[in-house]
Amino acid sequence: MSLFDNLAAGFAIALTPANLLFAFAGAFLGTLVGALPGIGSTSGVALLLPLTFGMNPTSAIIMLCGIYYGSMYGGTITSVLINTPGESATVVTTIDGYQMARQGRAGVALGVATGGSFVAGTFGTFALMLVAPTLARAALAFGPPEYFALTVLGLALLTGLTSGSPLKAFISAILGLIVATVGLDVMTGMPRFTFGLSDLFSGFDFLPISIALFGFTEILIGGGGTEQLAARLSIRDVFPSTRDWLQARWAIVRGTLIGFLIGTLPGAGATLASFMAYAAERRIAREPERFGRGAVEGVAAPESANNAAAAGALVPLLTLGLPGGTTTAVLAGALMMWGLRPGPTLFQDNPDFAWGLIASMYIGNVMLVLLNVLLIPVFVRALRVPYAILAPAILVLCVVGAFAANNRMWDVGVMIVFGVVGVGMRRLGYSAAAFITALVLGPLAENALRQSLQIAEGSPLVFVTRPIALGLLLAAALALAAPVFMRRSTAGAVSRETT
Amino acid sequence: MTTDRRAALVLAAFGIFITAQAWRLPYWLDRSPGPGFVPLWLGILLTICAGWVFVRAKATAPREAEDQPTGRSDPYALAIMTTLAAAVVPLVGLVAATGALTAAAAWRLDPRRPLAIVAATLATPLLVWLVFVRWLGVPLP
Repeated sequence: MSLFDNLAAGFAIALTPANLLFAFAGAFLGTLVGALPGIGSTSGVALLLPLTFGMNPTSAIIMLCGIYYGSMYGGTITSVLINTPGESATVVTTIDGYQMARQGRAGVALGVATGGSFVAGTFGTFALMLVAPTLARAALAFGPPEYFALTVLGLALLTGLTSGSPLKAFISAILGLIVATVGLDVMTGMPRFTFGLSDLFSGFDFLPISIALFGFTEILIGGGGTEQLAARLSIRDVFPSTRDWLQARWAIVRGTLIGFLIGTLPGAGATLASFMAYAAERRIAREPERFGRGAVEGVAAPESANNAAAAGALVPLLTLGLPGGTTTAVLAGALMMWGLRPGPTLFQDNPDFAWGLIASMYIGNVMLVLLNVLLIPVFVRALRVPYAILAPAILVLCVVGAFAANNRMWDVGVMIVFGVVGVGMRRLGYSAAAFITALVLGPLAENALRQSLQIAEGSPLVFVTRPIALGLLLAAALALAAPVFMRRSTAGAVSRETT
Repeated sequence: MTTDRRAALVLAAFGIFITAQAWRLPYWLDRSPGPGFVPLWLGILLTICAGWVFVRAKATAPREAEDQPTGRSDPYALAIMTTLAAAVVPLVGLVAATGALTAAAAWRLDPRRPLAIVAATLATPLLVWLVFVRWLGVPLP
């Protein structure tokens, strides 16, 4: 089947009334999640995952992906209106977006962000559609050694590119891998670290832990919340002038390209993409001094970048089974929960799912534009819910969501314990993203490692004699070493300048 | 001792514990790695890395993590409330427990809004019941 036949089949699935409804629900909830400070896309996907339990996997992932890219749109609203990013990928939008709001141009900022996000999201989905099947076909040649090397590369990129200490991110990944080993060993059936507790035989479910580390921890530390009231906006305010569009058009194009490319790199993510796009735009601007004072390009570039990156992040997930970031790690766990294995065989074994998802992303982007234009006044009103009321409701959602994972109170206990652990991790600079990614990739990595050594009769040379595996491992070593060298060279430059 | 160093000690102890537990599992079975293979190396690696953090924390300034949250809620109070709510579930059921949790947490975060707290206390369990019990059919205890 050709690309367009596959896409047509995908649209036939995505355009069913039920899937349209789920795409709309995902886009709506995602925008709301993104707009509410303190609940990012990862927390939103983790918290709302239990709502998809009764659905078929295609409908469920359509809704969850809607939440994911919808949150990118929604995060802009709080960044622009109240200078509080609802989502880490929209942090940089506050710089010029809030300045525009102070100048009475909040509607223009939101309109340009919506337009840029639509262009970027649609381009990102188109590029995903072109790249993913080809990459998946190439990855079909992978055996256990390549898979092991690939998971190592994924973890190395995530720990190497983390904003905090790479060593602490590495430790977080080790902890995630250790937690992933709990339960019955899949190859021998032998219990590991279960201490006679039958609840531990099946290991730790990833859902209560992801709810704990992202939703519960966020509320425990009081990360969200602002008493500032948002400005009143009407639908009319959200239409920028032709002059604004002309000023923003190349920023949207550049942001889209930068965002998609960065989004495809495991570990980079939408936040880095938005910062890179903003920095690039400022660097090439004729009047860089306008940035930080309400430049429309300063909103258009990062907003386009974060949406393109959200689509780009699905490339390594769907083709290689590698989550590119925290939200895609939760999505990967969700796919596994439904018995789908993200990776090269996904397009072959579950074409309905893969193409239905891609088609739904086109539809979701259109829905998001309509939602953002029509419902911005409603979202602005939602921002007025006091944090003291919102936070307990999220706490309750965490408890019930953790219970609903397996209908047992054990998971609520797990959620509470890991929530407290998450507070400690956050305060001490350990990476929850590296932990959850390792938890999801752990079983895959361990099985691939053991199978590789079994094939090679115990010889670790199997990873050196296979060129793809060797290349991936070298790339992983580079990803781990690069931040250390970069810091040293930066420190060296600073000391030379000061002496 | 800095918080960083105390955390490193706890992690190192955990690494040693994992190594000791993994030591009891078969390391090699039928010419392939056994169930103890990966946990053993992870335990050793964790111990070494935690030791490294301990040493570095001593050598450098005792600076805490940069992303120190500046929130206003007390994490331990909210965690204890959630634990208590989970503990009373067998007695009163999950829906009622969520009402109690909402009331306690909302009051703890901002006691100046009694009407909003009452409304949230009634609305949250009702929504939980509607969404999870009626819509999704989750058998809540």
